[in-house]
Amino acid sequence: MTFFRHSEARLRATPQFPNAKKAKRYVGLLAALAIVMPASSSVCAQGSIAVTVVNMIPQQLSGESGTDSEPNLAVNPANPQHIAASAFTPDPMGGAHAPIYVSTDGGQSWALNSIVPGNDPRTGTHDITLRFGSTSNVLYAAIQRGDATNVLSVLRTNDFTSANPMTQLVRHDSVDQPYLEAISVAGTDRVYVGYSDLTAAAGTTATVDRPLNAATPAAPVHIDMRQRTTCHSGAPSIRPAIHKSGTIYAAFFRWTRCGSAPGVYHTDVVVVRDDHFAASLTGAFTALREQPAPVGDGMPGVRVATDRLVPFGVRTLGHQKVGSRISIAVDPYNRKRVYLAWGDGANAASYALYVRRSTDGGATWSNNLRVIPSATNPSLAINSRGRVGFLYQKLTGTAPNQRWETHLERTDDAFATHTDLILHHAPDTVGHDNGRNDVPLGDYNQLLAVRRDFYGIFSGNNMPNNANFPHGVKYQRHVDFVTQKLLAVDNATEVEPSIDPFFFKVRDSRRR
Amino acid sequence: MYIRYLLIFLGLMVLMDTRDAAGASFEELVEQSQFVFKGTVTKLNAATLPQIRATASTIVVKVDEVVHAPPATMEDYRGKEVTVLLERPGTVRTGEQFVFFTRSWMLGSSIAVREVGRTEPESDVSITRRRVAEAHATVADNKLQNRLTDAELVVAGRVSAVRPAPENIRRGSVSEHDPDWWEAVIQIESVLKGQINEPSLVVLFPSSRDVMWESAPKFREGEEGTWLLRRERMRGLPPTHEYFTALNPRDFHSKDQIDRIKRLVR
Repeated sequence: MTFFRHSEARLRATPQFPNAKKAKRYVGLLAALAIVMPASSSVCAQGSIAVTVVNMIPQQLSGESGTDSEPNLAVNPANPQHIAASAFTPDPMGGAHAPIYVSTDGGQSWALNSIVPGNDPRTGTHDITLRFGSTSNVLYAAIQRGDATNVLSVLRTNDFTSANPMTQLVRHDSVDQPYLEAISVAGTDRVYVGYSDLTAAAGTTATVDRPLNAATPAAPVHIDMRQRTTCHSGAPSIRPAIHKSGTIYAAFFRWTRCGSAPGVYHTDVVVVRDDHFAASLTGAFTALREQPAPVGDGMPGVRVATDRLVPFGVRTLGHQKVGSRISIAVDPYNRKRVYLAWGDGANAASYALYVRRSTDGGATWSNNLRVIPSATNPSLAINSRGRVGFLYQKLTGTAPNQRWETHLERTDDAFATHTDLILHHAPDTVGHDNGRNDVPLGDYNQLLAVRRDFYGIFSGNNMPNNANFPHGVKYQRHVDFVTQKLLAVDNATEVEPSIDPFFFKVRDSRRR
Repeated sequence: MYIRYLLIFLGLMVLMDTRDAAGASFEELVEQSQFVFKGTVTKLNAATLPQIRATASTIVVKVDEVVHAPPATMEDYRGKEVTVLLERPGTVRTGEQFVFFTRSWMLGSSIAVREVGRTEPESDVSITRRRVAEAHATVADNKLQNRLTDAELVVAGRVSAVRPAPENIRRGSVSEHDPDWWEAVIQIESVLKGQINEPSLVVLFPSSRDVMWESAPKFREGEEGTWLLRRERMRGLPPTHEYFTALNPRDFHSKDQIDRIKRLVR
C-alpha cells in the first residue's frame, strides 16, 4: 500500500524544481507547449493526466433544448475507439427507433444512430443502459421501451454503427431501472441485467436476469432472499459487477420499513455474490452469507449498512430527486477486492454519499472511506492498475444560486489520499420544471475503466461557459463561448440552455 | 382495339406512379418515411459521416428540394449533401435525380437516412408536396380511426375541475417513474361513441413529467375537446378500478377537431 500511496502522491504532484536554472528550462518548454496547443483544446494536462470532456450533442442537432439526462456509456474493450452511449434523447426525426450515441474515434466526435426499438417521441427510450462484450465487439442494451410502460427489452447488435435495428433477446413486463453488465468468457458473451421486478412475490423485487450467452435466457434470480414483513417492494436500483473468474456481485437497497416520514424509507444496503457466473439453476447468488445470529442472520447477502434513511420520490438536493443511488465495482485483477458506494440521508441536510471497501469478497466491509455530503449519482470503477475511480455530482451553494459539480476522484490507497478532478460545474437552473420533472441530471451516470483509462458520462447544464469546465471542453453543437450562447444549426438563432450529456476520458500515462 | 391498349397502358402508368419498385403504395411510403426530398446522386460508395463505412449501399445525394421534413430540430437541408442507405445497391447512377422516401438512421456532423423507396421526380415539386401532405392526412386519419375503434367511450366536453387522485390511487405504486395520478372531471357535452348516463365523468391522468409519462396528455381546468377513453389495467391501480384513462397522445383532441372525429368514429 505504501507503493500505492507513493504513486498517488506523484499523481497529485505539482512540479517542484531543485534549482532555478532547471525551472527556467521547464518554464520555457511549457511556454512552447502553450503556444503549440490551441487555447480551446479539450485535452488538458494535469501532471501527466490528460482530461478530455466533450459535449455529445451532434452539430446537426444544435437546435435542440431537451433534457438529455440519465446517461450511460459503453466502451468496447476490444477497440476503445468504439464507444456507445445513451441518454433521454429521442429520434430527431420522430421515427420508430430511439437513438444511441456512437463514436468511432475514442469519444472525440459523436453521432446519433437510431437503432433501438420503441422510440418515445419526447424521450427516446425510458431507462437504458448498455455495454460491449469484452472481446466480441457486440453491443448489448437493456431498455425500458419508449413505446410501452415498464417493459424491459434486452437487445444486441453486432455492429453498433449499422442501420439495422438492434435484435431483441429478452422481454419482460413490469420492470424498473434495468442495468446491464456484460463480459466475454471463452468466446461467449455473458450478459447480466439487474432490475426491479415489480411483480415479484412478497415484494422481493431485486432481480438479476442472466441470459448467460445472451441467446438462451435462464430464469431470473430474485436476490433479496430475506422475508419481507413491511413495504411492498425494494428500491429500483440493482447493480451487478462481474469478474472474469466467474464471481458476480450485486448490490441493492432493501427497504425494511416505510413511511416514518413522507417519502423516506428505512433501508438496508445489501451485497450478494455468486462465484460461478450465476449459472446454477438453484442457489445462485448465495455464496455470500451473514454469520448466524447473534452476529448476523445467516441469510444470503451481507448487509453492509442497516436501517439507513433513504428519501424517495421527493426533491432532496436542489431540483433533483436522489432516492436509490448505488454503485459497486470489483478489481479486475482481484475478485475479492470490491468497492461499494451509495447515498442516504432523510433530507437535504443529512443526505450524503458513502464509500466502503471489502477485501475478502464482501464478507466484511470497511468503515466509511469517503463521505460526500449533498452529492448524488455515485459511480465506481477500478482500472487495470487497481486504481479506484469515483464519479459523483455534488450540489453546492444556497438556493437560488446552487450549482452542480461533477467530480472524478481517484485513489490508490483506499481514499487515504486521492485526487479530485472537477469536470464540470454549472447552475442548477435547467432541466426541471414545476410540472414535476424532478430528475434534471437523471437517476444515474456512468464511470468505466478500460485498461488504465477511465471513461465516463454525466448530464449537466450545457451553458457554453469556459469557467464551467476547469479541464476544458469540446462542443460539437454550435456555441459562442464569448457570448456564452447556444446557437441553432444556422449558427445564428439563439437556443435556450438545457441538459446535455458530456463524455469524458481521463488518461494516466504513467505506469504503476 | 388501339383505344383498349391505350387504356391498359395508361392504367399501368398510374400503377407505376403510385408504387415504387418494392411494391409499396405511395401512402405506405409516406407512412414509413420521416424525410422526403428530391435529390441528385453525387457520389456512389460514399458517406458524409465519419462514423459510417462507405459501401455499395451508401451514396451521397444533394438535396435539391425538401418535400417533407420533421419539424423542430431538423433544419432546411436544401443544397446540402446527405448519406442515403439504398434498399438495393447498384440501382442508381451519379447525376440521376429522384424523390427519396427515407427514415432516420444517423445524425452527427451531417445526416444519414435509410431509403424506404424512391420515385421519379414530378415536373413541379409542389405537386409532390401536395400528394405527400394528402397521404400524411390519410395516414393520420387511419391511426386515429384505429384508436377510435379501440376506445370504449368517446366524449366531447369541458374540464370542470382537476384534483389529485385519492391517496391510495395517487401513491399506489412506488417507482422512480411515479405517474402521480390526478383526476380530471369532464362535463360531457356530447357522446360520440359508447354509452354513459351521467352528465360528467372522471378521467385519471398522470401529472408527472417523468420520461415514462411525459407524452401522456395532461389536463387543466377549462380545457375543451374530445376524449377517447378506455379502462386500462395499470400497475399500482386497484385491479377493479373504474377510472377512464386517455394515456396515448392520440386520445385527446382540441375542440376544433370534433368534425374530423365525428367523420371517423364508427
